[in-house]
Amino acid sequence: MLFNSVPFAIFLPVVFLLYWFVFQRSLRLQNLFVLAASYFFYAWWDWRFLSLIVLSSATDYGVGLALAASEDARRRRLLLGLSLTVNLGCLAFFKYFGFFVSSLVDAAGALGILLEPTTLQIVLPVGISFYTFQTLSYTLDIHRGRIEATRDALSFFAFVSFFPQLVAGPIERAASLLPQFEKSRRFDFLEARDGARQILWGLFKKVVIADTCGRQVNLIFAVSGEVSGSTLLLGALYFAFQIYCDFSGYSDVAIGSAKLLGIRLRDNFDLPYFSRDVAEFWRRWHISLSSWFRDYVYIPLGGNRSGKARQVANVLLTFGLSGLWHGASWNFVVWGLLHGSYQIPSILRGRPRPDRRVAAWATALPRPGELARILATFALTLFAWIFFRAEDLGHALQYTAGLFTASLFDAPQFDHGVPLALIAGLLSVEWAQRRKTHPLQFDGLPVFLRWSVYLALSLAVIAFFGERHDFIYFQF
Amino acid sequence: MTSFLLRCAIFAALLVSVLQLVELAVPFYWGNSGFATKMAYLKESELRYDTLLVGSSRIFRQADPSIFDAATGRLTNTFNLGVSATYNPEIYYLYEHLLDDDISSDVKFVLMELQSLNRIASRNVATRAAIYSVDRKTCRFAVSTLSEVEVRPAKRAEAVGRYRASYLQRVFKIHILREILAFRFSPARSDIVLGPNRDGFYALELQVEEAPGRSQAKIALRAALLRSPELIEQRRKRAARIHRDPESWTFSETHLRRLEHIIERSRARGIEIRFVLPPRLPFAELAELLPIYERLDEDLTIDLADPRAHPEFYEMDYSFDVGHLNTRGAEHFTRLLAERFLASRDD
Repeated sequence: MLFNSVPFAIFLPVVFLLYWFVFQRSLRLQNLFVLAASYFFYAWWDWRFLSLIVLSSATDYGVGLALAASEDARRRRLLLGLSLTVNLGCLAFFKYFGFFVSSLVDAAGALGILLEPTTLQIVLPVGISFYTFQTLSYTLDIHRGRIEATRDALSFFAFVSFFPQLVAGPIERAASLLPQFEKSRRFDFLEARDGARQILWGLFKKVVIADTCGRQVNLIFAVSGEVSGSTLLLGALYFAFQIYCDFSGYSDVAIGSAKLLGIRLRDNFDLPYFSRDVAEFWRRWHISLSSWFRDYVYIPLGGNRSGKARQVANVLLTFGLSGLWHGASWNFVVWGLLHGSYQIPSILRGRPRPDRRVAAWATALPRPGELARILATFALTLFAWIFFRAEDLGHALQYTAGLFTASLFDAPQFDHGVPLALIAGLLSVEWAQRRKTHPLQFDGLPVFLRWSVYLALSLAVIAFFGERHDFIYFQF
Repeated sequence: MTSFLLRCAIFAALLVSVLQLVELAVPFYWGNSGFATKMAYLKESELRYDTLLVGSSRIFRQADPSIFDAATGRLTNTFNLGVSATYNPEIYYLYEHLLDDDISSDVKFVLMELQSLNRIASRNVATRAAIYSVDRKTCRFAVSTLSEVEVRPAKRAEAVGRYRASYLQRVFKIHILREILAFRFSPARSDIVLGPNRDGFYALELQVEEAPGRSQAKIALRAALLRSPELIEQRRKRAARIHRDPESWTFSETHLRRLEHIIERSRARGIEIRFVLPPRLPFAELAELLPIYERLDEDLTIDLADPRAHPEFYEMDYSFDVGHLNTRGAEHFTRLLAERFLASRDD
């Protein structure tokens, strides 16, 4: 079930009413209802793959209990190995089997060895990369002694499959989400209102901005060999905003839906295109994934504790794996490595203490130097997005070759009025509201104005709601 | 909680109200570009048409106003308001709104194709054509008719579900808001539907010969695929069988009541209406239409679908494709239509 679909527009209010009016009498009933609703939500896409979620949940629930009961380090390692094998095994089979086989065949071919590849038509289960990482973090955290194992199976299964964030995150940690399923929830008017507003803003970003940009992106990337450099530049720009509005829009709907049910999910995006360097970009982009890789890959590898050369290697490895997480294709790996390599100069120079606040926190506009850094960071991410969007590595290289030609200064082809206006509008609103969690937090405005904005956004969503556009991150 | 739900309800009501206001900015026929073109022409035309031929391509492609008027001895001044792929219940929606329009003040006679209830095809779900005319009345009519004529529960549930979904999409303007606004500021027109004589008639054969463009190639391709003697003979046999086998009929009281309502409303506007069964109707459609046809006043009906009475309509000489007549067939059909119309008036 897609968030930007009529079935979800019916599903969410029905779940909301049943959740608060019928099942609030008992925590167990409410959790059971959340679990049933979540499985229904997932089964809407394909009920057969529910078995994978159940397998993953059951494995980690059992491993968690066994870890809690064992002091023996070897046995604990074995249990962790079991969890890693089941979760990463499913992920490897469903997501990477084809990629590994084709890469092996290509490598062997380069050495003059002809291999007959075994090809399987494997369907990628929606959300497998997300819920696998979520449930895995639970076992890893218990193994490290950071959290206690839960005995409440119902809460645990609801934590793994919670429908707002089941198929595309945010990837939650057990430490923050699981306790919310273990204690009773009370309806909070302000929280629910904020959730509804965040859903509206998320849908606006997805349906109006991302899908409009997406149409231009599809067009330009399809004819990338035949258009001017300036058009290719706009194609990359549109993709930067398509993927941002698509994924952050999804996250907003997820977080807003959870708020309606009295559950707080972590923020997943925090104005990434106002970042002043690439490291900051990764603190603001897909925060739940980048922090996952930081905590479970980068830091265990040694992080920045073993000298600069090792730190560079760790950063490159982490970002390479992050790229591979996004998709079983070399262009994703290159995208990840590009982001890793962007950070090498600052690692070698010695990173200053990061400013956690968004640019120009205390002023209306950024200082010239700050603006230059924001633009430079955006340009670097823009270049990397080409590799992310291209069909394959060859296409990405062809696209970049076409971009850096004299035609970069020609007038662009196609009509760009609407998408450029939408992007400019988005940036203006985000900048003006950059100190808020989302731009619709404007309680200072008169009611009439606020409701006019809600109405205008709703009408825009309905007007732009057209052919079905899946969320990009569903494919990961 | 109450406060939150109340605000949600107020907001939803406000949103729906605004969406309904948006619809006031466009005419009732905005979702049917062929009908919109013909209506725009009628409103601009200084010719005062007193007879309208209403229906799908079986009227648009087969009923020639110039032949009709000649055959009635210029009793009538006819315009063909038929539009391809305009079926029941859309046709009733359009006609009943037409009765409220100024245009109907000149009209004395209407000949309307009798059609069985259209099932929204899966490929058409979420299209403007499947949504714009499904208001509350149309939805209730469709759901009630389906409960009477669709005997297979799964098929019935699917068809009912699609009408209900269309209705909800119409209320919330899902999939159509942008098209409504586009129509408001730049109405889609396709002058081809007016035909060479600008009387709303365009024989399929003529269009293939004369009018350039994609539709020409599409029509020719369809004719090549469907101009099969076997298919036409099969349709003739089935039409004959259903005419003589009332056991196979499926009657809809709802449909009959709707037609009676249309007759009443037409009379109130001073319009004489006739319901026409054109030739080449498929078996399933006839099974739904014949029991209604039999119950309507004989003076109000014209049956040209019975192959026992009109075998010539099932001959290759009169065929464009399996469902449509060629130019010769259309001439013959129009003459017969006029004769039967005059006969019904004499009665």
